[in-house]
Amino acid sequence: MNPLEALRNLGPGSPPPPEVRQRVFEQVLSAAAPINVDHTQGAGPAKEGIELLARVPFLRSKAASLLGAWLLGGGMGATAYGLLRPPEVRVVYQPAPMSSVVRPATVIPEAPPPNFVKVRKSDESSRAVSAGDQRPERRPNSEVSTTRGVSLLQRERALLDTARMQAAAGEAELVLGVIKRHREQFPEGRLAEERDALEIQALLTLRRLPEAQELARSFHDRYPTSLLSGAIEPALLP
Amino acid sequence: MARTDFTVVFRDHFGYVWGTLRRLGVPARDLEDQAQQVFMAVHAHLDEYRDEYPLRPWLFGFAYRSASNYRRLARHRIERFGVVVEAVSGTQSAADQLIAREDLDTAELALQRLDLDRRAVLLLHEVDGNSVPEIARALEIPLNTAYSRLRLAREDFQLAYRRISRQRGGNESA
Repeated sequence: MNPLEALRNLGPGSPPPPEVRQRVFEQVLSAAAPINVDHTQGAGPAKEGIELLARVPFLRSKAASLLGAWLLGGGMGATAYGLLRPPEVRVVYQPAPMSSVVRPATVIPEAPPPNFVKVRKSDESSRAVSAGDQRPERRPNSEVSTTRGVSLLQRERALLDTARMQAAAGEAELVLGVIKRHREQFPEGRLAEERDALEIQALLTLRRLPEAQELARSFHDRYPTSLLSGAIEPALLP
Repeated sequence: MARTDFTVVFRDHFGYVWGTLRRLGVPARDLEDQAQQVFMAVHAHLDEYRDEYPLRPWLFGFAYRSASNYRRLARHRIERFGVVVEAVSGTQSAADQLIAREDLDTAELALQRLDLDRRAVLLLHEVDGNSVPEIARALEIPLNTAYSRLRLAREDFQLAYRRISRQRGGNESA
């Protein structure tokens, strides 16, 4: 006999004993009775709603399962990102108030511009403590101050740049005039060393050697380690 | 089908479920418990049954899941099957009946050597005569999977049948 033919001829098999059949039937009905009560009384509108949803073809499809999994994954990812992302840092521009035309300070003016400060986003609400307020308290001092955000050092440098350009153009007299102005405005200026060197060079150009030599000696005494010593050295030569 | 028809379902198909469970590897000592579980599940889901489909593949699905769960328990993995062979025609001679009985016995043993998934498909198709789409619906598997399982089940079954025949020294005719 062919194997598959033998298989087809197997038939239903031996029947179960009648007493077993009766026993199983009674046990099923007795066990199912509480289930019936639960089905009819316990579920109520919730069960009807679930059954109604289950009848919608899309909700029973694999696409619905995939969509649900995708949405769930996206939500979990967004939550994880919100919890784990580093704090955001933004640079906030704060214009300086017009009232601070002359603002005393003891800090070195070459520090980063005071109107750009790093503020954590979470601290934005408490920006009452702003960059201006965080600066050290400044004492009245004519040496360094600001005028519309331009420091005195910058004004000093602008004057000396003018003098330097005039020196390069051979206008030594004009150089001395600018230097005189600088000395009047900034008697204790931070660029006094450079100013004095320029003055000596201008005097040398004008062949005013005695004045140049006197100033050169004074310069040497005042700034013995100056990098500008080389520039005034010709005045010290015999 | 109304819930009140459970009695009819039980009366007409208890034997079928009983035989199916046995062929799916449930040993005789546990057949009663497993049959009870199957019919409890049938009772709970009878409202879901749709009349346009045949009832037996639907019942087979419950028996298959019950047998599958039964086999997952470690203590049930070692099987001992008592082969019960019947359905031998009364018109055959004694020698023919003996040969036929041996063939059926071999078929039962070969069936027990199949993987449960393939065995279920083979039983539904070759013994119960269900179409592959009906099998796919009953076992809740894709149609292509059902076709694939049937092809593999046939191959496995024929191989097992021939091996058992050779071990018995009998003459196989395939």
